[in-house]
Amino acid sequence: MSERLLATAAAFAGGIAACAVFAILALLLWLGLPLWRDPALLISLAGSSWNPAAGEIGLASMAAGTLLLAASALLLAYPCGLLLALSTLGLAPRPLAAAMRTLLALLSGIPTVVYAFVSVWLLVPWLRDSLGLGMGYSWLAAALTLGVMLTPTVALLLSGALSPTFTRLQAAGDALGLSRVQLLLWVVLPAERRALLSALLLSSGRAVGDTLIALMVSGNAIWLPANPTEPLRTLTAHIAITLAADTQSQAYAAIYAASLLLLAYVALVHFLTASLSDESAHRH
Amino acid sequence: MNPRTVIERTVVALSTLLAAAFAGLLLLILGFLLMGAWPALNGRLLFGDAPAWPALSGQVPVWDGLWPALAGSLMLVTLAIGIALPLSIAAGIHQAEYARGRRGRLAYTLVDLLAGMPSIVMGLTGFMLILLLRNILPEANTSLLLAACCVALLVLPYLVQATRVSLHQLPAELRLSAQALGLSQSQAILHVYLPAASPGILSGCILAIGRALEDVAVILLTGVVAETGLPGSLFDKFEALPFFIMVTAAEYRDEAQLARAFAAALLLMSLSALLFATARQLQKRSLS
Amino acid sequence: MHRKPVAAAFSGLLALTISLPVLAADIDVFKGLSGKLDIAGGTAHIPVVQDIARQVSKSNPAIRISVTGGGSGVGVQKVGEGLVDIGSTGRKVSAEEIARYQLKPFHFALDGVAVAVHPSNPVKDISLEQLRDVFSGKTSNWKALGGADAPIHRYGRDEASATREVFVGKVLGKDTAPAAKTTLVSSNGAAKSAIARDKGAIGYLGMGMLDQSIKPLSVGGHAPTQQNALSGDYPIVRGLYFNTKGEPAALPAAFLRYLKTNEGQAIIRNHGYIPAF
Repeated sequence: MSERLLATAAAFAGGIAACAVFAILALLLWLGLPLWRDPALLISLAGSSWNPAAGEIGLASMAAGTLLLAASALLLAYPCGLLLALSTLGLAPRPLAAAMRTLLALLSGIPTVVYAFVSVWLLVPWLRDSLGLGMGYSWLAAALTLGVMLTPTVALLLSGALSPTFTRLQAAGDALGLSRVQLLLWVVLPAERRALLSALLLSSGRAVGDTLIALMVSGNAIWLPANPTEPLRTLTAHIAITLAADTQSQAYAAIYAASLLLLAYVALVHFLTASLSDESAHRH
Repeated sequence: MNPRTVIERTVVALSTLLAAAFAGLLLLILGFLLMGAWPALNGRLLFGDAPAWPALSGQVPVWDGLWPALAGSLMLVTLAIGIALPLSIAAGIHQAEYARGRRGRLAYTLVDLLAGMPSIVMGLTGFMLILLLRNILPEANTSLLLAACCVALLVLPYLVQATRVSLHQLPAELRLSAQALGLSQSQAILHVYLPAASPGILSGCILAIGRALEDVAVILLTGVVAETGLPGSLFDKFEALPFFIMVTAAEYRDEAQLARAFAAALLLMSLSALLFATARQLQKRSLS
Repeated sequence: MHRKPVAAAFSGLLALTISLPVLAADIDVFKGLSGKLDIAGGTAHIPVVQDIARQVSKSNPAIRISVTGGGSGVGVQKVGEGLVDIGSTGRKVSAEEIARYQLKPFHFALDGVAVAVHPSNPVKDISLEQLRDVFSGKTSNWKALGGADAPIHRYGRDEASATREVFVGKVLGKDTAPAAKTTLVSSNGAAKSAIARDKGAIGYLGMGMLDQSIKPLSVGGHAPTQQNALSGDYPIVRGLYFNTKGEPAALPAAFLRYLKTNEGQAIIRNHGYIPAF
């Protein structure tokens, strides 16, 4: 009797957790129906001109903004994260490495809003007044903030992924007379290419999903920046801003499309990561 | 010099430099926040001019103090974890102990997808749901309860994963001995596996609390407001620390309010640091 | 009753109360009422609502007033969907909005939209044509306006803002699109703090929001004062509204009635707006 009860309760809860994704997807698809039915609107969605008053609801600038910001933030966060991961694994002397892990955990625990807040009051004025780089609120400011925020997370992710292989190979490395840096660089990293790639994918998901930093630091102009000192707008920030529109309007409908675009990206990242780990499972 | 040696030395030098830079960054953030918060760090920080005890319980409204935002955040997190925890432990048990084969893999995939979902999309969903619900229940509104449900959904995947992984990592001997003792599967799960997995679940839970505490994008759409005082019921609007920080960063009334936002950032940071320290202690204990 | 300790907290408002002897009874419009009153929308309204919320909580703790911004668009949307009791807007709601949501607007104050720059900026006056060129993106250096040789940093608002709608309507007209490269801020308060921090800034905000931290420009020779806005000399003017869905219920009705009392009008004036009664 209780056997059945627990199994049913667990299956029920599992069902809820699993169905949430479908429910969200279905809701967005259903609410966006007026968009999918109207070919002219669909074409407009793919354009880069956003002027709801004139029936133009192009999301291309925002989609590009999301990709630009995420890519540039990762360009900072990934190499830095990798170097920090290597240093916790063995490049730093042992007591220092333990302190570094604590530091990384502390940094990764700082709330996003705190990073954004410090950026608004420290980085933005510095870029604008001391360096004279435009208005301060810009692609550059957002990319630096997001990059710094992601670095500790990337480092912890990578050090978690690399440490089993490193520990396993350490004795062999010692026997061959390899230094720790040699072992890490020329043996562990090449062996863990897939783990490196899947960590990159995973953190790109976080970079794309960030709302707060983009909203508070990027300037939010609907505009494709010609250089990093200019403002940009991401899909997530666009959703947050456009929520103020009339719920029945085309502009509001466009945020369902923006949400679906974001979900599509998350799904893509997930399946790429999954196929990577599948292949590595086959290999072993 | 051998080019490989050059690379090796550069990597060592760079990684040391970076480590120092990030340690400096932490100090910079702390120092900067402390400096900005200094004028607000006094006895009036939480309650303004209101008397502390009556204000604590909401009998006297607090203006110009952080208490309503802090209390709102704590209530939100407690509710959200209260909703998510039982659900996700059950779902984690389902995935680790019952779900098999393709259906099991599908369940993993969906929960992982939920984990990757941008929080603003989750908030949007909650807001649209309440609009739809109002057709049946005209009294339904954005509120503490709705926000807690949406935040629960946000942290659910972390908790499910923590439960699933902790159960998977139990030593095989434990399972064998439970079976050898003739325990039924439900007895084994409830009385042996779950208690053994609890440190892992607990540390996942603490990370989930941190995630719930810092979220803004979800509550932005589901019931947080700039000013209201302590919520009187689950169906009231509420204030929250991260939202206060975000709003005040853009539009502060006066220097005193801005200093309070700095103090709020410091407070939020200390709360997360405390949570992370606890989680690490638990992880260490569960490993040893 | 927790009147005593709380009352001490609001010395500024207390002074206001003492200076007008008839006021003792004004707050009594809330007497006997209880429950919650949720207000959202226009950001120029926030200081007024916050002040009233404090007054009310002092005399009648059974009433809970929540205040949040978002812009006038949010005000219309939220009150229209019935999610808040009062939606504030910095413009008159359109006939279409009234018809769709059965909105009942309550005009309570007049506000000019000021153009402001950083206090260190030497520019004092700007014509409507120059303003159009700046916000459409044609002019992008302060030199063209008689200032230093430095780029102009434009600050604007998003589409939910009535301040933007009124400003763009009066300055750019229908045919000129606002410059895309404009940093967007989320409220009147945010516009003020952004301009105060940026030496190259120009932006627009409700006159009620002006203070020493930013420098308002006269437009076409007319100083940005509420008197000039009232007389029609200053060209960019809008009304501030509180909207309810249908006839207001007891609590929102008391709130609107309170605005009309001497005390309510004093609060409106105190925040730099001209009462519309």
